[in-house]
Amino acid sequence: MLDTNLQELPDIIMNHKIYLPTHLFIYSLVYFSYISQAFSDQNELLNLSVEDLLNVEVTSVAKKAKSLNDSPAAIYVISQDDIKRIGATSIPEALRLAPGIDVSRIDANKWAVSARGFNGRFANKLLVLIDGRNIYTRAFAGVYWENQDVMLEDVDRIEVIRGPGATLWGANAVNGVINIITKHSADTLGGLLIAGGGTEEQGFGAFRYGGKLDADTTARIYVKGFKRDENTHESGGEAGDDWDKVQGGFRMDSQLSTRDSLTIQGDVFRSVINQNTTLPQLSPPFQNNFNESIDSFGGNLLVRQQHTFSSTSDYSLQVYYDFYERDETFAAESRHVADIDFQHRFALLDWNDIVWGVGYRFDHDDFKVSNIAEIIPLSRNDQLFSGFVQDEITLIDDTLWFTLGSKFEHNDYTGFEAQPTARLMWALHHQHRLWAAVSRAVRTPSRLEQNANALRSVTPPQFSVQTNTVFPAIAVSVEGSTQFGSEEVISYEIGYRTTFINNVSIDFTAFYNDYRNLRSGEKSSVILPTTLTDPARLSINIGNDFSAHTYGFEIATVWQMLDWWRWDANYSLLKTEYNDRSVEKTLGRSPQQHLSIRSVISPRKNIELDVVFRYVGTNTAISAFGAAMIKDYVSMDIRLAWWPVEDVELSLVGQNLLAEKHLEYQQELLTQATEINRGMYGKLAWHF
Amino acid sequence: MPATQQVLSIILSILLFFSSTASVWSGPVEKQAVLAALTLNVARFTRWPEFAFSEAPDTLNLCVFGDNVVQQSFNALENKIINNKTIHIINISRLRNLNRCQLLYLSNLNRNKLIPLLVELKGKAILTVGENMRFLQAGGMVGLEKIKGKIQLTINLPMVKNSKLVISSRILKLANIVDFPSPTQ
Repeated sequence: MLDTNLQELPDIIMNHKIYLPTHLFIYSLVYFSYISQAFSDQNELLNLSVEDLLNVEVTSVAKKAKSLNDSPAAIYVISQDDIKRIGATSIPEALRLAPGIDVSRIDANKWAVSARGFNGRFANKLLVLIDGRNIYTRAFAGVYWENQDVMLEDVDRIEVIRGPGATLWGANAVNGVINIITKHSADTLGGLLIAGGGTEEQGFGAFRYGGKLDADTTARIYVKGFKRDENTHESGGEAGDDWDKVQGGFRMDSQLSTRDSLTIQGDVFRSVINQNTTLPQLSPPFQNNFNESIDSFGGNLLVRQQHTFSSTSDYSLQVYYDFYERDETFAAESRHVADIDFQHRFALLDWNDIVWGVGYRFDHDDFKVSNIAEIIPLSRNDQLFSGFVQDEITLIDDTLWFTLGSKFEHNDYTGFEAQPTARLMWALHHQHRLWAAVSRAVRTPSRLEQNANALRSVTPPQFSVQTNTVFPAIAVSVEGSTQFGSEEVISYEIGYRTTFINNVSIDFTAFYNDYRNLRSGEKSSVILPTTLTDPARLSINIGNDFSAHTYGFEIATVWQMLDWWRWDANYSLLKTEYNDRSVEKTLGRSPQQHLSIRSVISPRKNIELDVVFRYVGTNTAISAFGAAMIKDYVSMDIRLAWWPVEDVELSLVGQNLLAEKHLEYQQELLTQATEINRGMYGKLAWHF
Repeated sequence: MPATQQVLSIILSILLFFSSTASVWSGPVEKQAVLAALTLNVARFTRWPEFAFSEAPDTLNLCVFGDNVVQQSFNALENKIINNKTIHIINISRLRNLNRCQLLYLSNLNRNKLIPLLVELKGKAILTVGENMRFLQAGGMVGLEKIKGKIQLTINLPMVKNSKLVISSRILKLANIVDFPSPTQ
């Protein structure tokens, strides 16, 4: 009966007897009846016999929106399917899917990624882990995104947590934690061959093979590589930022007994990163501009053992070693990190779930610097001792939980740090979740902030015609300080998640962050030169004098409109207020608004069409010569995929389609503003 | 009629056409809804020992561990009456206090947690239902796995008998019977 109505409706509308608002009203009515029909479908199903139920054809495509998890934190999960369907070719590109994450591409090989503000190439308030391995570098307390890659097809999911996660993960999880989790090797059996290329993604390929080594052991190996084209300088001309990379690795998982499992995994990469470098110099023309090829090399090895005592008690012991080397004119660096972590979870008295752990990290680095920088000492060993305990207390069974915990750590830069959190989770109804949290987190100093001095810019001499005087060149240097201490945040968050109707989910989080002791740059008085040819000297001394508060909200919605058509829409608002207006010139300002709308269509079993539209608000980046305003922009990516046979996927991806090129960010030093070009690529994936 | 209006109408008509065909009964049915309906049927043809209902003789507690999509598919079972007992759905998010459950539906629990959990439940009058062969190999009782577009019902008979549960032959003859003893500790 409903179906007849549906078929008649378009005719009525085509005869334009009713106005558009009326059409929309009728259509929404039809949709609601459609939704309610879905309910009656299920009741009919319940009346079917077992024989009939075993004979109906089923589809795994859920009409319902996922997911309503029970964590008292602003967590968003990017699935393997999401990564594939937006055609992401790197981890940062995949992270653009998460609400409240600011991903700005600086050029072909550099990204600025942060949550809830304070973005930059050397952003330092986001903690990132790949399979439990912390990829933060002590050099600048952030992540070299160009060094980090995985076989994206082997990623199980990326968990993105906005807000402090320091209690479990430790210092630097100030504004967020990103957990990149690869698949168990039992889930990647068989072969996968990938090849493709296009305009910006000039060529890429990957091969993975997984197999069973014995009844309880599975493993996989992979190798991948790519070459990416250069972009365009804002001032015009090729940016010289093309690069290539080769990476290989393996993962082995073994079930030693019913209670013990062992994972061993590792990766090694080598990359040639081209960049058009601009370094200041004291003599005319006061700027040295040259093309260089940075050789970047690194790898890691990780072993994790897990033992299960019971369904509520287990421990894991993890050891890893990670190293990288990069050979850059400004400063060459090599770094070796060894880390050991132990974590134990157990239930106590039926209403406590306790997790506690201890960890130790050893860090060794070696720097070689150019004549415009100084790092004292050039080589340093650092140690970090940490421990944490967290208790999830069930106040009402399956309904109300209170979590209390703290991390305690000792590092060689600031000594002892405590990072507590208190969280409440209320499952008030099976379709509604409410949570709230208060946490403290710190961002410990980086090696360069404490131990480096560098020339940042030289302003050429100026001649004033009116007064007939010459102003000498001004050399500005940044001076690190061993007195520089930790930055601190107290964060307040509330969240609400709902699937009030089955095919819609909404996840809302609001936050207020109070930052103290933020990194400041205090200008010294100008030291005038003794001769006319020498520049005047000005130094910016690093201190902890800034404070700020930020507030805003993030909203993530999913609408499973039809079995084969889903919409995801994310919006985030971020307000940044500094203690003083001038602070913006030192710390910049992240975009106030992000909006993304994504349409996910599977019109047939073997066809996928994805469209992502993004708006990013205006932001202020800090370049070598001060604050640079980056205009807001819109961009769109489209992917069309087709499976001619079950195991072969052909796809065509267009990235940044709305403009020939656009500027997303500008790096703090070393390179000029680079606009990101529009790109297209085709890809073949064969599973065997 | 203005062009935009026309375009919009056409788009909406196309949408409606697809949505109407998608809801025709003969088409494929959402998997989780079928799994919930099958779970109800298995429960209908299962006999629990009397002591399993000692706390509330008229209620059958069906505990569901899974994401919101799984949980929502079981909502339709709330207050259904089978064998003179009213079904009460309990959505659990922590694996505790499981003794209140007569039936436990476990969706996607990783192997490390699954094995010890099923070992702890061994011998208790709790019918365990899961979604794949791995679940049965770990000591689960009823497996509902999607194979070639249909659901295959598999029953691990020794584990059922061990728990003093009796599943009617009406179900058994439709099921694929396997024999996976509980993994040793």
